[in-house]
Amino acid sequence: MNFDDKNIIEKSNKVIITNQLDGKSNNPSIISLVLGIISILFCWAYICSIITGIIGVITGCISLTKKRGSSNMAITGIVLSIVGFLFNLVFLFIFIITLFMD
Amino acid sequence: MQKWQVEADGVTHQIQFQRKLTKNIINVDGETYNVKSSNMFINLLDYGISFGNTDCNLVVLGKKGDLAVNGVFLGSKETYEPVGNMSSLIWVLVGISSIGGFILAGLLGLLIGILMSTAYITFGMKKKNGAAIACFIACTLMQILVFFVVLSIRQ
Repeated sequence: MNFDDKNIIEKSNKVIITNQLDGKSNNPSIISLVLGIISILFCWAYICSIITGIIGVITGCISLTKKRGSSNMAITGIVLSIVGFLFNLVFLFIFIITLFMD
Repeated sequence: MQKWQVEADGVTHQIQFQRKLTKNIINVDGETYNVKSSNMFINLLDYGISFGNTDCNLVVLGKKGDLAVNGVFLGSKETYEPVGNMSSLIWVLVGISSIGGFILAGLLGLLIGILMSTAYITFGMKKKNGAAIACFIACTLMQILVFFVVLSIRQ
């Protein structure tokens, strides 16, 4: 081992590596908002909004209870998810009625 | 593999970044650290590497990485801005493009969404939210186009 290698090893003990994004996660509120928007946008698509709406409400509630991320975003996500879910139920109901009428 | 050399307290340190199929490897002076992406859709890292008085930040987006030494990137010469400080709007756009793209146009839509998401994040880091929204609109139009193409092929 030469002198330079020794230097590097000695110094490398002082190296501190930290994840700058860790602990600042506001993912649940963002996921809730994203799924809420998607449930509204895809409320015409069979059962898509029912799935995204349920997951949106769950992630929004997780965000609010664990206080991760913006509460406004989580509440908006929950509201949009519920509205998308209900719209999807209405569309599904209409679809089933037209299926039986034909 | 990307390499940088940083001089701190008269000692030259070597930092390497390697992106493998499923994992990211940061090598500092021969010591290997396996790190994982902070985003579920795209590969995104923001790691602080501290050598005493010298603070470095390794920011990786996709396969491309750049090292900021004491707040200035070595590659782009731009000022370092923590990825965590980025507007939530960008992450919302990333989510809508990826999940929405997948629902609308399947795997091709997802691929377009993920590729365009790197552009949103790049603009988001530079605080250019307008450009990110323009990219989002372009991405959505592309996904809608793919949706109609797939629909016409099926019929």
